[in-house]
Amino acid sequence: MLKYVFLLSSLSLLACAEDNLDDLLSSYQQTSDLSKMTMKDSSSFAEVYTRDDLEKMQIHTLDDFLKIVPGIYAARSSSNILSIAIPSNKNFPLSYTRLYINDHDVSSSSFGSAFQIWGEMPTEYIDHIEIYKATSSMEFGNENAALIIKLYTKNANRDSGSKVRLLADNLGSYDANMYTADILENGISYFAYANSDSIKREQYKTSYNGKEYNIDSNKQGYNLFATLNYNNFYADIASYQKRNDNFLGKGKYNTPENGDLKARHSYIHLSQTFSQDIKVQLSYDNLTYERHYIDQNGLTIATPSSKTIQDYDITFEDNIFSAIIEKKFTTSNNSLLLDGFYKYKGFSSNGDYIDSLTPTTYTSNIANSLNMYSLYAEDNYDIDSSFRVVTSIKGDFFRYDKEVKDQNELLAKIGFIKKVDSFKAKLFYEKGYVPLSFYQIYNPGNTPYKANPNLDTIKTDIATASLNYTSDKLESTLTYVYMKSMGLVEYAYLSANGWINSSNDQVQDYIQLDSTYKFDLDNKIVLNLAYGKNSDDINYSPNFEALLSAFNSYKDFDFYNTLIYKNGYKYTSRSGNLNILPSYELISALKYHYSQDLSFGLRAENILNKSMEQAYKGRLHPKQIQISDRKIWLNMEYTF
Amino acid sequence: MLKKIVISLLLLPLLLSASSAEYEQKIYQTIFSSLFPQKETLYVWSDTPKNSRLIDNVSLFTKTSDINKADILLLSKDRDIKKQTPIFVTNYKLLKSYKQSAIGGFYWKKGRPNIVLLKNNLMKNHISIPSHMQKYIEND
Repeated sequence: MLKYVFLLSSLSLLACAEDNLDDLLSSYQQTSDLSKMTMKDSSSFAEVYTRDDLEKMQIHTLDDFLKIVPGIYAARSSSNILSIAIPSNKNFPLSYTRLYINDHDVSSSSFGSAFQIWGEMPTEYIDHIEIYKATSSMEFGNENAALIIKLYTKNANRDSGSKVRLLADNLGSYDANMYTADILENGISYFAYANSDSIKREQYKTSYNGKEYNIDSNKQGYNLFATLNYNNFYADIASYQKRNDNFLGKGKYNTPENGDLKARHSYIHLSQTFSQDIKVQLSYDNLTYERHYIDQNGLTIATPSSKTIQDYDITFEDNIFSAIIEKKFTTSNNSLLLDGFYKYKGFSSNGDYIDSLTPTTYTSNIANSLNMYSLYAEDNYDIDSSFRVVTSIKGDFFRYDKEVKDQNELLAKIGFIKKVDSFKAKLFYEKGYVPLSFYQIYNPGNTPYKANPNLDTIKTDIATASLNYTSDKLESTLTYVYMKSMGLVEYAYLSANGWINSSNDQVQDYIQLDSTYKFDLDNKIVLNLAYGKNSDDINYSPNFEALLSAFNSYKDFDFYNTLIYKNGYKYTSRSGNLNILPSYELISALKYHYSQDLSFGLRAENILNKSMEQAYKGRLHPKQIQISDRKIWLNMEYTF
Repeated sequence: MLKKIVISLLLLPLLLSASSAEYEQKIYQTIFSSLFPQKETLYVWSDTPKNSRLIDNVSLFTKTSDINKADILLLSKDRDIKKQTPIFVTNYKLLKSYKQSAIGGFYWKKGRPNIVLLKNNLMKNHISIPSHMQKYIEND
């Protein structure tokens, strides 16, 4: 009987669908999301944000996006760099993270992270985003990290035509984007994107010795990106440059006067897939990072040791060349990937530190380079259609030009994925490490800078266990992560070499529950709960977060609402303690589709004015400042 | 009204579990059963393996390797085809190339799937357009 009811409902569906091609087109569009092709299902802990999600949210920068990723507390450092914390923990070292745009790793070799430059990047040219947590590079055959963010750009196969998107907010910001894409007669396709933005942030005031100072954190940027494709050849070319205010800066009393960060990252990434599943990638990156701090009341930033300076001017330049070759062997129940890569990283830093009272200028010019070799193998073996075993092994070999010892690192991973009816269980364990950045090797406490020749990488043990339940309407996943970090790299002010390996291990336990209930293809609610505990048993950040989001469509309107709750905690520092209250960040977005090609949107951020507060230590007293401004964005999108 | 709600509830699981390929097949089925209501089978000639797989999964379609027997040519590549058989294309460029002979196309453009029917070529082939398909017509 049930069979006939099902058959009847199927036939009825088909009959109804015939009446409404528009509904079929809409369903086809949603189920054809590009993430279905790029997502690595054999990963231990991954989340995907589809194009439909991003469009409903009206997200337009990476930092805005990261705020709604459960278990990641995107904030900003005192010098206005995107920082990340995880529940209960201190700031997550930026070198634990890797950011990819398509196949390209945009991390800086100076800092070991991409966020110094790309943290507030505009995202209109991004199709969808994947987040891999408690992971390693092994899925992607590149440098290691524990958090990987993969951004996939739009392409001409889907987006031929052109689009203009203009945004403005009540603080005077604007964000103007345009892209155009086409497939030419000769089969070459291109996608070209340009952006200009000026993001205004809330201005704060501080005073010292009877004088008032402005705390600004505005940003201006330009982003150019193009991709060319012909058969199995792809070329990505990009250049992003920006200027940031210094926010609190590095002054003893956080009394900045002018100063800024000017940064640029340009790259080209070529990729060719040959027959027999061989893929070759070549890339070149050039990055410059110019930081200028001015604070007449003295800068706390290191160097020259014990001297008081008022003007700090430093430039980093990276040149990175990378070559990757991979080969896949696929049979009916086994997939083996072999991968080898070579990376050259050239690094230089030129600093002028000026005591304008004496006046005296101290300088420090350093340079080094690294040749990195890596070999990698990953095997996915299906014991049967419901049970997969994933094994990976990787060797990374670091050879510095000078001053730093050779390093050989071995990574290994094993994972089991078992499906039973509507349930899927995953169990993974991996031994890994976190690569050193050049910035961590050199001690800014000495002038000129000196390297710590014995500095070692942080070693990590990560275990994840997850259980997923999927039905037609409900998907729910419970994930537990155990992460042990050994030999943490810390800055010891009194040591000769500055950066040292700590003798203390750190353990992080983390639990996340994700549930999505789909009413239909256009309407869903999402609940995320994240809880973390560290081995110090002290909360350095909120240890619990809950996100409740609703994605809805009705006729020509799209709606998005999310409420992010984080509990409070006590911040302690030498200059005083702060009681960080629980936060409630409410974000709402409304989009009206005037036609298929023209839409207007409204996005209100931090509506309750109770977003998470970030604590900043200060010499006189610590400060607490909300991470999100209370803003309303107006949005217009036009395709042609 | 109640009946509609009950049917919707019954259909929802199917809607949510259907794959992209299934929707694509259903779209082709819907377009061609609307354009050729009198036909129980349409013989389709195609130029790519991907299209062949699609044809195999659309109940109205029967694959033919003989272009002379075809009722419809489903094209994904630019070819010098002189035949008068109605052509249906899978990308926007081809719709331009076959402006004089294509009856329409189904392809991605501007980030979304599009259906386009070319009025003059449909008329040339004596194909009438049902009212629910009028919105996809472009005057070629």
